This record gives sequence, C-alpha cells and structure tokens, in this order.
Amino acid sequence: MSYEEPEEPLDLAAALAATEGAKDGFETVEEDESPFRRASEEERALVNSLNSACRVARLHDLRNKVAQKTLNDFAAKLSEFLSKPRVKEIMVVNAEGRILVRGATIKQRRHGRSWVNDWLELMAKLGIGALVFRGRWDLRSSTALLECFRAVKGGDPEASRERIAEAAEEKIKEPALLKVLSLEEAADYAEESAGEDLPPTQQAIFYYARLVALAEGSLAAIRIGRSPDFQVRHVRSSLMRVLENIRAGLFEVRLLALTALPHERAEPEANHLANAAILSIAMGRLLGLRRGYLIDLGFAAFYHDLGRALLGQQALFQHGGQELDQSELPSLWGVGCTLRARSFGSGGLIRVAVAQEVERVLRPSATSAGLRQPHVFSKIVSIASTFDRLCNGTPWQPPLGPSHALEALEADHATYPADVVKLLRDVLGPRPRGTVLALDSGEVGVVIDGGARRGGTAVVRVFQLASGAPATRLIVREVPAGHGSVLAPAEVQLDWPRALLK
Amino acid sequence: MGGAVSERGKLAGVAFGHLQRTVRFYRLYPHEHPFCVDAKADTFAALGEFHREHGPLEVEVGFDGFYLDEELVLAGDDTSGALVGLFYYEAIRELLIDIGIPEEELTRLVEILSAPYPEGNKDAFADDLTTALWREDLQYFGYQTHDPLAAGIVRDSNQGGVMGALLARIRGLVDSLGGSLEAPKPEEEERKPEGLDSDAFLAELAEAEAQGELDDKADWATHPDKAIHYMESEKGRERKRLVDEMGKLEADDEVNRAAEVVAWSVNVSHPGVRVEDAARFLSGSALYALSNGDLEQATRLVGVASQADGGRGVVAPLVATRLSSAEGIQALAKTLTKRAGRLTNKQLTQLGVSYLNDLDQRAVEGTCAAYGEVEDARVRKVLREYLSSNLDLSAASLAPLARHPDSVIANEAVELLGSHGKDSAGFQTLLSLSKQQVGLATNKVLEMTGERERRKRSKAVRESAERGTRMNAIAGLADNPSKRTYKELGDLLEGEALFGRDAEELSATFYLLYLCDPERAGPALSKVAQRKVPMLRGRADVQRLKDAASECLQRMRGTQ
Repeated sequence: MSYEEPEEPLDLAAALAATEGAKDGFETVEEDESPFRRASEEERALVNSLNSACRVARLHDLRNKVAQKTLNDFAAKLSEFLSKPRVKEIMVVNAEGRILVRGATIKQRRHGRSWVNDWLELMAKLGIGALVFRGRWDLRSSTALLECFRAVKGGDPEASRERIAEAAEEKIKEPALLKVLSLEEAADYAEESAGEDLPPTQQAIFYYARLVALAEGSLAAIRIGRSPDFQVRHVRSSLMRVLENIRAGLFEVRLLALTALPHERAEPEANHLANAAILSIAMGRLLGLRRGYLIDLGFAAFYHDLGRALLGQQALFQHGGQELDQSELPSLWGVGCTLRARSFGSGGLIRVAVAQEVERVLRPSATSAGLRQPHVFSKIVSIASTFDRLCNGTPWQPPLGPSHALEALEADHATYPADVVKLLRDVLGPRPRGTVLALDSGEVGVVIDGGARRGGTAVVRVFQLASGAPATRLIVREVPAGHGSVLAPAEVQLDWPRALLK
Repeated sequence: MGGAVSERGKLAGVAFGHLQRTVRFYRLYPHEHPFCVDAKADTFAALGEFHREHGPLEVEVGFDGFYLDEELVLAGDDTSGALVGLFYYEAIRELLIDIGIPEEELTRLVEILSAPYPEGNKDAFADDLTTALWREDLQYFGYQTHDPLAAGIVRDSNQGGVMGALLARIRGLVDSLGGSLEAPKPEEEERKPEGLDSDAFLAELAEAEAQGELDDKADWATHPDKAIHYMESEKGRERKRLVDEMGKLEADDEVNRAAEVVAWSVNVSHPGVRVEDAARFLSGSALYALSNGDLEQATRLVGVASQADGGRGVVAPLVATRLSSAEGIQALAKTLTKRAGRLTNKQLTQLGVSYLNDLDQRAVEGTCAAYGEVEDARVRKVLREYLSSNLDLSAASLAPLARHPDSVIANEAVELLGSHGKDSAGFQTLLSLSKQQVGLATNKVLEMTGERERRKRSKAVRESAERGTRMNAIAGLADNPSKRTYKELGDLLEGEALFGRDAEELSATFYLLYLCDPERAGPALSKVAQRKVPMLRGRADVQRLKDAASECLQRMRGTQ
C-alpha cells in the first residue's frame, strides 16, 4: 500500500523478456508481498501501544504516571519502527474485524474480547478509517498526537475525525507527518481480496480475461524460448475457479458467450487457447467427469496448440533432407514447447500427449503408426479447437460463424468423430452463441444462448429492427428450432459482438 | 507446538501437533506401520475432543505458525512434514477441520499432506498441494487461498514487473470486454432502470432449466447433472463408449502415453523437440515413479527412452546418466526400501539388480556415491550385488566408503573390495587404502594374503605350550613358506627357546626355517650344529638341537 503513483506497467512480452534467468512458473508467495501476511510481533506491539496510549490519554492527564509510561512506550516504538531501513510510512487501517498494519493483518478474536476490539471500536467512534505515520517521530510529536485525541470526546464520528485531523495539522510539526483518513478514504486499503462478489456476468468476463492474459504470457514465453509454464499456478487456479463457478447457470452462459467473440487481432492464439479450454471443460462436463479430470482436460486444452504460435515465424520445416508430413508440424512444435515446461503433474502429462494427438485425431498419419489411439481428451480438445478455428477463420478460409462451423463438423463424419461433435452440439445447441440470425419477423439478432437445454430454442438479442434501423432498446426473443435463418458473419455490418455480451 | 495459553488454544495445538506428527510418520514409514496408525488415531481423538468442546477447528495460517484467533497454536519449523510451511507457501491462509470428519477423510487428508510435492524450481512430476486438495474435494476440510489475481487486486494493484504487466493486461481485457472489476453497490442495483435485463432473463432461464423435470431422456444429454443417467440410458450408449475409453486414465497410463509420444517425437527428428528436453522429461518421470515406489514403471520408462534414439543413441544415454546419478540411485534405494517388506531377499535383489543392469555400468559411480546414505541393510546388499558384478569399475569409487564414519558401511565396502580375490582391482584398492593407514583395509589385506594366519601360526610356534598346536602351526607355515616367517622364528635357534621340544618337533621347525629362507637357514643351522654342549644344565636339550640341526643340514644337502 502506498500513495505513490503506479509505475507504468510493461506489456507482458517485454516484462517477460526483462526477466532473463527468472524462475518459470514456480513463483512462491513472498512474505512482504502477500496481502494476507500476518502482522509481526513488532507490528502488533506497535499498534497495541498506540491503542493503549490513545485510551489512557483520553482517560488521564498526560502528566499522569500511567499516561507518561504508555506515551513513552508508544513514542519509542513508533520512532524505532520509522527509523528502520525501507520503512517509509506506517499505515494502520481499521477494517471489518481486523486491523491492517503495513498491509499485514491483526485479526479480531472470534471468541472473547481483546485490545483489537477496543481499538476498532474507538476508531469507529471517531470516524477514523486509517492513520498514516510518516517522517521522523519523537516524544514531542507523539505527545501532540495524543493531545489531538484527548481533545475530542465523542459525537458525530465524521465531525470527530475532522477535528482530530485539524488538530493534528496544527500540533504535529515536521519532520513528523500524520494523515488521518476517513472510513471512506481508507476503504480501498481495507480490502484484502475484493471482487469475489462480482455478479456472474462480470465474473465470467473477469475469468475469461485472466485466461486470455495468461495464455498471452505463455505464448510470449515460448517465443523467447522459455517454458510455457508462465504463472502456471495461476492458470490452474483460474481453471479451478471457472470449474467452481460454471455450475451457476448465468456464469456458464456468459462464459460460453465470450468464446464466441472474434479473436483479438494482436494475439488471436491466446483467445483460441482460452476458448478451447472453456469449450473442452463444458464438453467434459457432459461426460460426467469428476472435477479432477475436468481440470486436466482444461489444462491440456489450454496448451494444446502452442506449436502454431511458433509456426508464424517459421513457414516450412525440413530436417535431414526429409520433409515431414506437413500436418504434423505444428503439433510437434507444440510437443517441443510442452516439454520445455517444468510442470508435469497429471494435467502436465496429459497435455504432452494432447499436444501431439490433437492433429492425429483429424489426420492420422503413417509416421505415427505404433502410437496409441488418441486419448478421449485429445478428441474433445481437437473438436473444440477446430470449431473455434472454423468460427474465426484460418489463413485459407474466412470465418464461418458458429452455426456453420458446427454444421461443417457435423457434415464430415470421416474427419471429425461424430460422438464428440455431438457432445459439442449438446453444449452449444444447434445455433450456438454468436450465431447471427435473421428472424422470421425480419429482425436481426445474435444468439446469446443456443438453447441446448431447451430443445434448441435459442435466446436472441435483437440488434436490428425489421425496418433495418438499429434497435435502441434491449429486445430479447426466444426463437424455436427451425425458425429464422443463419447469416454469415461477413453479411452483418453491425457490431454484433457487443450485443452478445449485453 | 505454539505458546497457546487458553484451553481452546491448547486443544487446537494438540490436534495440529498430532496431525503434523502423523504426516511425518506417513512420509517415513509404510502407512500400516504402528507409528502411523497410532499417530493418526491420536489426531482423530484430539480433533474429536476439540470439536466436542469448541466446535469446528478453524485457524489462520501465518508464515510463522497457525493462529487460533490471536493465539499461536502451532509454530512453523523447517523440518520435513512441517504443516505451517507446507500450507503457507501454497498460499493457503485459512484452514478448517469441521465437526464430524470421518476417519477415512482424515486418512485421505494425511495421505495428501504427506505426498511428495515439487520443491523450489525443480521439475514437478506431481500436482502441487493446492491442486491435490482441490482435486480431492474433501468435505470436512476447508481452506482459503490467497489469490494474487483476485479482482480487487487486479483493479487496484500498481505492481511492476511481470506480475504488474499481467494484472494490467487482465484489467485491459476486462475493460475491452465491457466488464467491471467493481462489485455493484446495493444503491446502484436499486437504481437499475425498470425493464428487460438480459442477465436476469438468462439467469431465470438457467434456473428454470436446472429445476425443470426432464421427461425425455434425450434432453439429459445436454445437462451435466444428468450426464451419468443419460449414459446409463439406451440413448446415451454412444456417449458411454467415450467414457469407457477413459477407463484407462490411471496415473501411470498418462505418463506412459506422454513418454511414448515424446519418444516418437524424438524419433522423427523434429527440430522443435529438443533432445535434452525429452531426456529431462523421461528421466524425471522415471525418478518420480521411483519416488513413488514404482520400480516397474521406472523400468518401463527406461525402456521407452531406449527406443527414443532413432538409432542415434542420444536420449537413452542422457536418461540413463541422470537415473544413474546419486540422486537416481537414492530414489531407487527408497523404492527398494519401501518394497523390501513384501519381497524375499532373492526377489528384492533380482528387482534392483535388473533395473541397475538396464542402466548399464553408468550407475556404478552413482551407486557408490549413494551407498553411504542407504539405511536399509537389505537394500545395501542389492547395491553391493550390482557393484560386485562391476567391481573393476567400482573399485576406485568404493574407496571413500572404506573411510565411512559408520563402521558397518565401511566394513561392507572393504568386504566388497576384497570379494574378488587378490588379482582384482578391488584388492589393489585395498592395498592402496592400507598404505594410507585405513585400518579396515589393512586388516582385509592381511586376511586376504594369509598374513594374519601366518602371524598367528608363527606366534604359536614361538609361544604355544601345546606341542600339537605348535606342530600344526609348523605344518601350516610350511605350506606357504615366507621369509617373514624366518625373520620371526630365526631367533629360536639361539638361546634356550627350543629347550624341551622333542627331536621330531625340532626337526620340523628347522626344516621349516630352511624352507622359508634357505640362504640364511644354512649358516644358522650350522652354527646350531656346532654349538657347544654344556656340562650340566641343558646338556640334553642342546644335544637334541645339534642332532636335529645336523640332520636338517644333511637333508638340505640332499635336497640341493
């Protein structure tokens, strides 16, 4: 926590490149960086002495022996703490049920009463959210601080805080500095991990963004020859949170809708990896897989196509005068990338196999004779991946859109395993999210839910009225299977992706 | 244990103390060992006592210990199996063990906590603790992790470096997707305009889907909650086949599949697959299998590696070299130790030696380096068996073990060095050690050369009061005559040392001296033959000596 202006963050690739020789993916929690750090004995003692001094000062004259003793104790502790190297300030934040001192927690007892309760009550009564000590403090400035507290006996908390702040400004002289923050001002500092209470749609966006950003990190890492395990623990934890939330209907609907958005132009492969992971997990759920398997499936899908990220730089590969089967090249680069990894837990193992097998599912080759039949995970990831590529287009084929992409998969039984394609259809419905439909009424809209679980009745967000004018208010229609006609993405001029998320 | 003062804190400390002890025992002993069984029972009882008195046991995890409210109930330490470090460095910040935890779940928890987890920056062939706990989804054990990518942190952080860039990128993506990292405040919710809200609409639909009765089994196909029922129905048969394919998803199957893919990828000589990465993966997998006591799996992986060469002979040697290192052999030793209780000596030896033979002679040095750390005597015997069959190579590497502080280890090394006789490289090493004043080696050399026995016999000839013993010793020494024997017994020809010995013995003694050193024996015996016979004391004895010496000299001449 600090008042300093944030540094301009580097982009991921540049930040990674600047950490040559750093550990790949095995980050541990540094004590000083963790917002969950428990306050040290010294920090607890300091706040405890501040509490005692304030309370005694409010009860006794400061010349009283008891008051003198607590004052001296507090002044000595504060002065000593502030004189430590690297300690620029001491911020004492009063949060719900806990005090945060320099970001470390002193928790209130759940049973019984302690000085923490006393302090929090006193601060609440005085309307103080946080005290920030800076500069050099001695006995005189500490005495001045306590005089400020003595002067205010109660009443409206906000008025009390203002009076204390004014008195502090007047009585406490440099080099001692004090800032008295209101409850509102301190609120930002009092949160340890805010945001978990985001509503489902925002959570879906947040976790999707996490996965895409982490995929970008992995791709940036492999392009400079590093392990793809960029922040791999966070990849796993993001997948865990996706799996924990996906049972909530709206979260699932919105998360799947995000996979229907066009890929980002700057790093389309990152979207592709995140989409393949999400679609694979959704398909795996229909197989009744336990969550341990689901996370492995998602993990393997997340790294299934690293080879293509490298292929952008190298068009043709020949080795030893023998040209390999072209179709196998990306997968082998992918295997090479996964082998550079350091994390081979069960998800890590299966991703090595999936990286090679995804292409073999579609194009068995003579050179891979002798290997086992592709794993079920490879089949799932392969279909999810192909679907996403067809939707978004490839260098040799324009985007088909979700509905036509699904039809293409369903039409080619020889290439795409029908049972797995059916699984995808059962996740998405016959007209998957992102499909642009011309309704029988003449309106045009985008499917925001494919109605897989309602016999194919799609939920469509209308963005163009029958008159051709854009819809200015929110119109949502349920469109039964067989109604409306699918438009190709190229036929649609309006910003349908925006409509998809609203 | 921490410094808890309240009754509640003390009980919590006792419960976690027992849990910690159980985890340590599980790491050291087979799980059915009485130590493990008793420790787990103690943990179960202590948890029950806490639950009865104070309800669910919930603590905060700090870097220095577990805290119950403000009391330290279990202090952290750096030893293996220390719970505090185990949880803290996995970013677990709160723990809960709930009332009614069944014994089976406690067992599973202990198994998870005692499993080997990746350390530092090493390759990880197992899930981390958080993933392992998450996978298991225990019902009575809860935990809270610190998430450095939580929405609030993403929103407010001003960190620099890679983490800062990642947080900024997530922020940017959320923004570009029209999302928000701020939870809506209640007043904002209230201010929402009346009318259609697609979120609310979709949420209602989803809820209706979840609660709806699904009469048509075809509809089950799209509901994850009905997945199992669907696959059991006629319509779900096709999907069931997919799940059946998954039946082989056991842990070792995953590693074998991955290993085969890696071997194949190396075989096609693709430039994207680096040989050293493939070797690192295959050897790491095998080492992990060993650390789990799965020698067969490790052997399979060595086999896969040997096929990964494509005739170039690159991967297999790299893999074998790593597995042959001291680290690799220590892992093997651990495996054999775990298996020792269930196998006969012969089976154990067969298992271990066959694995080591697969590694070829590379493993000799690593085996010698690891030998001193192996506690189990049966396992050391297996290693000795392998070393013995490669003694020419292992002799020099065994030398340091002869100086091992544990005399048992040192003795075993010396015995091994001497096991192939005097013409072996082992014996040469023993001689060299003997010259360096290594007592055990010297003794062994004495034993192997017969010197010890010779000295014993020589002493018997000189000092034994029993005629039979002396005669046997003379006969034994005569079998391997040596100048050293002459040196030790030559003095007997002078003075009265041989007085009282009969003619037969004297004859045998003198002839022995002749055999040991004919050049010195001739003049010495001549001197005896010419010895003056005293008038009184010893007259008969000296005469016997003279006669025997003369006879021996004659015999010598006859022989010459």
